[in-house]
Amino acid sequence: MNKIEKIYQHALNILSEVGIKLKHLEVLNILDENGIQIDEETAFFTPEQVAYWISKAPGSFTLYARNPAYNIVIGNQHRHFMAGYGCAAIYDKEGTARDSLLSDYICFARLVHQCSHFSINGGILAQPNDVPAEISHLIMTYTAMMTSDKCLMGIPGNEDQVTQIMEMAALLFGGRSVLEKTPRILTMVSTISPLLIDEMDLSTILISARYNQPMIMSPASTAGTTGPIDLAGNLALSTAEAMAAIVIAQIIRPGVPVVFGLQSNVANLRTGNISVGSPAYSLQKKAVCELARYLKLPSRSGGATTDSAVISPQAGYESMLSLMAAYQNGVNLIIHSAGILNSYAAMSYEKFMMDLELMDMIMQYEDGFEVNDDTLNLELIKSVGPGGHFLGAADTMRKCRSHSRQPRIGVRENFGRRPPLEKYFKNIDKGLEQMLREYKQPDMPSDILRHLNDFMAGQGIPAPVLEQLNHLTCNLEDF
Amino acid sequence: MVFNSMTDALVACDKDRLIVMVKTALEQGESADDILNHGLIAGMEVVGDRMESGDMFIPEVLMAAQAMTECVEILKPLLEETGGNHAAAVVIGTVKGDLHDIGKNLVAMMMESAGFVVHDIGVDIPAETFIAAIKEKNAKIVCLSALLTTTMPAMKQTIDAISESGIRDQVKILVGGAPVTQAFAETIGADGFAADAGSAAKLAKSFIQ
Repeated sequence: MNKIEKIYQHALNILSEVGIKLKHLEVLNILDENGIQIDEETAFFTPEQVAYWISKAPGSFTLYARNPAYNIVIGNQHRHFMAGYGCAAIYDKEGTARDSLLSDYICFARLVHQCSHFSINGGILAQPNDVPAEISHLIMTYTAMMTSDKCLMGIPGNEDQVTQIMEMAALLFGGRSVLEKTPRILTMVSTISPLLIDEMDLSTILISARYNQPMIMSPASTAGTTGPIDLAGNLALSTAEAMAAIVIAQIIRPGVPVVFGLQSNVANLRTGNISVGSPAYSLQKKAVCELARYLKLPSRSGGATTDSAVISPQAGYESMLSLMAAYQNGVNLIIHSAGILNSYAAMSYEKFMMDLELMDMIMQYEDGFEVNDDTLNLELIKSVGPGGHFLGAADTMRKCRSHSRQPRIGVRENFGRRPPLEKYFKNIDKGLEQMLREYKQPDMPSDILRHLNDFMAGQGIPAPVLEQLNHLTCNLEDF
Repeated sequence: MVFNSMTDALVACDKDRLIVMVKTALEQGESADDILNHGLIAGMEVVGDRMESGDMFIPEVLMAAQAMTECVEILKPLLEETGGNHAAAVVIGTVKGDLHDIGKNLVAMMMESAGFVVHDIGVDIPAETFIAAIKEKNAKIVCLSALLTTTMPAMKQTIDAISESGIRDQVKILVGGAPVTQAFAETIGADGFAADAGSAAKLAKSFIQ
């Protein structure tokens, strides 16, 4: 038995011997009706039940966007970056925190729309603290739909909230029956480690599955605090939680697409906080991929994560390790690929730009290089000869822009008068400004817009608010 | 207008178009001197600025410079006829012990593009060869290049030898190369230091004006 099989077997033992506590009566009843052993609020799954229901989930699926150019396959060899998710604060260049606002959500949605690295937009790009929590899911979803025609992330919530989001998706994509036929809105489900799923996340599973919409099952057990300090034990615990969530989803709707999305962390035991810049975190991503392949499911992990609270050398090397580990190991959905600082405490515009550069670099590295007569070019070497140089060769001139990748923001010309770090931040500002200036809102068909606005009005959000929302701009001065 | 178009052609590294423009301008009665100064040299100043700002890549700058060189060949007989070309002479070389020449070549090219008559005497050049060249070409500017920290002392030896030969006041000495700094230039008694080819040409021009 190899390491992955041992972890899997251990996860099965956890689910059959310890069980998982589920804070949702309807879900417990559904499980009971399907032969799962329930003891008060705790469900116990046999290894056979787990294997049977997990086998119902597709090994890969297509997520459909409003614009078909952004449709993506999730699973197999496909890898997709996604922006930071779930932060409620913004850090500035100096690492000073402020509450994230709706204008930040709009800015990040526009930046994600502008960047070719991303095919998925929306979700909780930044929690808008200036919007009442009861309606923020509506405002964020509406904003994402209006801002971008890429694939959509959903937002977890109670049954009413998730139903509202699904109804909005139905309006956007041509009705509930159409929606149910194709995965359109991808929602993240979190467990509460160890071995507990709350009512909100079970409601999210219940509603998403009923609408046949995909979910990322994302336990985030943290080695040393909410999980065993040994990575093997921590991974097994996360695996058990993810498998339980997947089984529940498959029982509710066999075949609903799910992603095996362990976000297994490690703790900084000096403080008890999580540490996502550590090698141990990246190491677990490797295992997540192998476990997902073993289970024949798509995988998910974190991306360019760091424990640094500010753009710094630490932020750079930790993020690169983390993103590279995810990409090279073949994680299908690499969430938190751009913007994250301070162990998920905040989004940062500067970090977002820095992380785009990391993605550029990793993708170029992965592209490799071609070896053929043209790229070897003996005639060129003959014409230059010993002691000459290739700088003035026509071949170099022809290829100097395509073959000499210039960094998006990185500074290479260090002999100028401006200090390199100052120039670096200036490049960041310039890049941000350009991306936002060039943003163009995709057309929204007027009948769909009317339906969406009517729906929002029905939820108590009147047209003037939506009108205002559509005219909110990204003010670079606020960064 | 025609001179602006020459700048555009230089920036686009379009040699064929540039040659046609130069010939047409001559046919239309523009003087070789004006074409050189207001068309080609002015155009290369833009190229130099763009190189400095990173908007043009070095291979493109080289192509532009090559295009200019070909055009200067067309103008040369006419410039000699009118006695127009009074450009200052520059002697440039890599100092003794150092075989590196790409940086030195780039500086030579930018100097040429700025209108200087450049005498590139090569690599691994002993002090006496520099001195002979200065005398022979009546050079106003001498550029010393070194890439290796181990050959930096040869820069000082060359400057000392130029002083001892009694022609130090006749020339301005510029030094450059990856390990060279402004402070080092001052220490060894050079007149100037440039960090890149574009600023070397600018500095040389400032010495002449």
